Amino acid sequence: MEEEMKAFVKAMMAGDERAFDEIYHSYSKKLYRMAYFITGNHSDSEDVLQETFVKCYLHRGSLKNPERFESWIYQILVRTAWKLEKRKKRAGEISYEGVLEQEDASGARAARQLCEDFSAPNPLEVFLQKESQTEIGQMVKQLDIKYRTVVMLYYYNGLGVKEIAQIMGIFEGTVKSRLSKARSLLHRKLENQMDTNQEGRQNHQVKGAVL
Amino acid sequence: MNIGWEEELRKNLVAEITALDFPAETEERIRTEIHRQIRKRRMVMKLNRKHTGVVLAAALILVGAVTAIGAGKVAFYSSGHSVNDEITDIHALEERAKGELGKSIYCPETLADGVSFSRGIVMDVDAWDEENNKVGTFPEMCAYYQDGAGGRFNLSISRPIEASVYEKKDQVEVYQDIQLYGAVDQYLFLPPEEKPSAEDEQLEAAGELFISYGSSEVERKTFTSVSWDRGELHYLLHTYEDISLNQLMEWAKQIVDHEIK
Repeated sequence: MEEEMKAFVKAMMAGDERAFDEIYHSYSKKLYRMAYFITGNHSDSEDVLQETFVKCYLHRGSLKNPERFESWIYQILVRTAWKLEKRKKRAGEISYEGVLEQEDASGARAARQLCEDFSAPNPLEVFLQKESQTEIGQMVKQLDIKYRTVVMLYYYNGLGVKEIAQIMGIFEGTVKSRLSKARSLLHRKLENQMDTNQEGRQNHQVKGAVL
Repeated sequence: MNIGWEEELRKNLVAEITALDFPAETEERIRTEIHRQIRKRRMVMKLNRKHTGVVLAAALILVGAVTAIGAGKVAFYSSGHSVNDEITDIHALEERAKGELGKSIYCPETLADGVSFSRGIVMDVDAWDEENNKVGTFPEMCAYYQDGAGGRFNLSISRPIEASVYEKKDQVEVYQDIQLYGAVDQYLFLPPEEKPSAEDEQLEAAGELFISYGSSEVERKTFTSVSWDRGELHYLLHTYEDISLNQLMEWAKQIVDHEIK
């Protein structure tokens, strides 16, 4: 953590509201984006961001080491977002829940084989290079909230398994299995998309040939 | 694990998330709301005698530093300051306080029993009503003192917007024609979502416990204070530490002497 930010965090821990504002300006964009990735809509993301910073200030006494500020505030954000999602589910509101929960053993094996194939050019890699980022984002958003969160913390925030476990309040083994499952779910989704695209191209060629 | 696939996934995800816009006006709007929520949940009671709760229109006209924003019953106060605003020279503090409060301020640098000034601050205190509307602002000087044993206490001097009402008086003395009111109060500090127990609520209703919300953890503290009014200014000598009311009263008299001298 940069020295200047560490100083702001220390000052905020002592109750300095101006230092708190500096921290807000530095982190709000990133945290908003994280909130949006988890919740899937702007309104909820704003609520989560707001509540995260309110809790950050009011519970600053629970932060013992300024160096751990980022993990600490990520933890607040993740739990706040989950709480909101839970509340919405209970109220019967539309939730951004995933549809890729079911997976049969053969599908998982195929996905793992694809992951482990180092020798040949990976068709998925090629496919991803061409696929628009919005479509990838859409696929990830279809994951269940707990997989979505671990994917975000791992790939976007670049955190390790241990830190993710602390933020999410779960065991490291659970992080690894969620990451693994998220990868295989995404693989399957991407493969299906690849097949669909390929079929479409073939039909188009056949139509062209007929014409 | 195929690193190429994962790297492409990571690049796509980062690009997707980073592309999300967060306009400056949204950022500012949320920041304002954050502060409003913090104030609302903190409900920091200004640690002083119970006031009448009525904003006196006359008091608001006194000096320019006391502003009237809206009429309404004061429910709580809030103030904040940056550690960067703290002043370590007593004369500089007196000058700054004079400028803000509009009256000459005399703070002793030392008191008996090894007490010495350590630092001070001049800040604005906001007064809020039950609906979270700001009803006034007034300046306050706070000087921090330390005794020979490391015990700390504060001297606050302000031009308040309400009349002082001393409801709870554990000790009253008249010194140099000034009434000094001493009190020992029990405070319970609770985090925002915490609820007091039924017993604590009963004690609060009986006036034997003050409950304040917004701390980071549950804390029980004894608040010892001596307060008085002189020349449009309100004085509050207070501590949470293990300092007796008699001792605080003695220091209050020394402060009165220093000002009159």
